[in-house]
Amino acid sequence: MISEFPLFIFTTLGGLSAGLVMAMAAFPPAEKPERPWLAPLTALVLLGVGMLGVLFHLKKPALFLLALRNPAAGIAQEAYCGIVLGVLLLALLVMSWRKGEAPRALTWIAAGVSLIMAFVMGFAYVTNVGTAAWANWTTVPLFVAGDIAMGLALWAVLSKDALEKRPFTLATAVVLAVSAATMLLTGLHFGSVGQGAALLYAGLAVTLAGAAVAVVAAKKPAAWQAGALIACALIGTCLARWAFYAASII
Amino acid sequence: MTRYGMAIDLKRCVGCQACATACKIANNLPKDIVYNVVYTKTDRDWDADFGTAVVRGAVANDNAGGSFPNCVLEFLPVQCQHCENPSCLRVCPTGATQKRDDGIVWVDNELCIGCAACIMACPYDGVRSMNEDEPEYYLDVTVGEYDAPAHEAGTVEKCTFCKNLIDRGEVPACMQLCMGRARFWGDLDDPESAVSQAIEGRDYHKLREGAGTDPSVYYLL
Ligand code: SF4
Ligand code: SF4
Ligand code: SF4
Repeated sequence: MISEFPLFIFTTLGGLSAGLVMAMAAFPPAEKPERPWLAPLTALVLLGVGMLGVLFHLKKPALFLLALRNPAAGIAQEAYCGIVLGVLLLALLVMSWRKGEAPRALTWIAAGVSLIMAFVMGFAYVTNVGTAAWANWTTVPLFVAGDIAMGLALWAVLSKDALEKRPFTLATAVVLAVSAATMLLTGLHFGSVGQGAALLYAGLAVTLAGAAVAVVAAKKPAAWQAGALIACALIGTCLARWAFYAASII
Repeated sequence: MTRYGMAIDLKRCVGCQACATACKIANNLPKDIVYNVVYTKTDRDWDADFGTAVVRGAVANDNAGGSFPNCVLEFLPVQCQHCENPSCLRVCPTGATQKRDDGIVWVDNELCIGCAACIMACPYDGVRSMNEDEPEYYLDVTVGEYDAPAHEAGTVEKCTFCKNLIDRGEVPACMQLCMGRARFWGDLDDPESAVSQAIEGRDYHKLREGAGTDPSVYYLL
């Protein structure tokens, strides 16, 4: 077990939620979905569980509100983003449940906040100059690309028609390939500071397999591809994140 | 303006551990907490790993390295460097880590929630310690200064530059007991202060400057 398991849960589930919101905004369904509330509800639950998970990282979880006091701190910025995204997702959920759909502008605002949150999650580690493996520019793209890759893959499962759209499958293939590239760069950096990178490279291989599935889907969509995509994106990203947190100095 | 700092003369330090002991007692430190570790080094690369210490699991404090006749035995006392630009300060979400106008960096235990961000952000491994559980002590009696810092489960602690002593005109406990007279303390902005005088004309090293923290502890070479 890694000492930073709560942070692993937070950035994986919170990141998956953020990625899903970005995917929802970029590739809206062509027709009104039967269950328009499903994606916002999924994103909200993922974010909520992730944020609850982070409480276990604190030695004094009851005082978590104090963590909002210093806006320059990465933890505070993550909390601000998480709270704003949570409120926006709640609004999206209520609107799509009551009216059958939510305003596109609101989805885009939530996607913008999600992108900022993904960035902030990565950047929080870059400022940890005491942890050489983390304090490198590669950490930000590792987190952002991983989050978007997971989100697109989950959207392939939740959306009825995403896989049938060529721009979606091509974008998914590109993002998964970029995510694999960030794992390679992070692995090289880990190696340069004497940190083991085997799990990062395992994550890279699985993520590349996901990219291959997306390329196949772009040529000939099939029902099995959504499951394969989410499995590859989730397993690949989780392997890389596990390796990342295993480099913690505590 | 006053800007407190310390100089540690590595030519005078004999690795006696008196400063580490003084710190432990003056601050009534719990078993697992150390603010000040005197490391034994078998090289003179001050920025690489700090070396070995019994308190960090080594069997002895005075093992020389290298092979005869090129043996090396150095001592490197390491505590919080009270950085001009502390990386621990920025990452602390609660504002528990604070920097006074006189440069002393300290932790308000009432605000600390034990997130450990400061430990991961500090480039000087081991200068910050987490009270994982309810603190345990070697002695049944409280020792040290009456206004020693509080020790509370779930909070992070580190060298306070003995601000309780400074604020009543005394000098840090580790300085008081240093038998090699290797430690100098005072206002870095005052050219007449003991610390400025000690640094004057000497070669010195500040630890891990690549991290951009600009430490206030000068190691005289
Ligand atoms: S040495 Fe570490 S804990 Fe002390 S002020 Fe510098 S960054 Fe902060
Ligand atoms: S452990 Fe305490 S002092 Fe350190 S960053 Fe967290 S709240 Fe601040
Ligand atoms: S200045 Fe005080 S708290 Fe800091 S190492 Fe010396 S004795 Fe310990």
